[in-house]
Amino acid sequence: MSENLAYALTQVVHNFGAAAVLGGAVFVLWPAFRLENVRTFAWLILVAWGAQIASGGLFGLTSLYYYGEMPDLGSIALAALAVKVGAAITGFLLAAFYLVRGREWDHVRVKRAFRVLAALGATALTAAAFLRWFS
Amino acid sequence: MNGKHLPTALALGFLLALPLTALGQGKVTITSPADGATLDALDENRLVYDVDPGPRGDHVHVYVDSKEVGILRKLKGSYLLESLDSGKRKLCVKVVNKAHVPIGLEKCVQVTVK
Repeated sequence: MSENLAYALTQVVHNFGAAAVLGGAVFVLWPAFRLENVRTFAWLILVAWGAQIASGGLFGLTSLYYYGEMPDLGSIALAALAVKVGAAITGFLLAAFYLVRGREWDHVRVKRAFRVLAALGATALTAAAFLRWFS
Repeated sequence: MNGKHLPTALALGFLLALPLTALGQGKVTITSPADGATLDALDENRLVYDVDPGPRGDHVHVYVDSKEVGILRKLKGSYLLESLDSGKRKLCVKVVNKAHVPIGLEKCVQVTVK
């Protein structure tokens, strides 16, 4: 019971984080690029990537706590996990970099940064599907 | 105890007993190959298994010499062992939970591949 609750609550954080990293970036870009509130969305995306990284680690820690083992992943799942981790770290750093330096950037550069953030979100979500079903 | 409370007491006892039955530990059986069997590397070798995952298990991973080679979502069936190298091999079936963590329920057999 407590084990399922731990996994489920971690999954809640992970799912909302996934929705925010992609949704936040897409909302800034689509249907038309909007510069107002961009920093607010950058904060949302930064926190969401942080939540993704933390909850991802928490999945491993939950398994370690209840079974003394980490999830047993095959080669495709491991590759998908590496892609997810890479996307999360890059997304977190890019959002942070924008928040630190973004005020000096022109519209084109800001737009490009959010396109990259959206692509990283989509990449992580795609990799998550492979991680889920090739394990 | 008043006789009219007997059905209530029985129902309560039944409900309390339910979690105990749910705590069955589960079981993994490898029907084939038998432990100690000799396999021909050129044959189509199948691992035949039957799994009761218990309350914590979800699906099954197959291993050859500790390397994961397959993910099985059917709890009873067979798995084609592809290209087994010759020599002594350890074949294992492990029950894992939804997070793909082995829950300690497993069965292994040693075979010799020629």
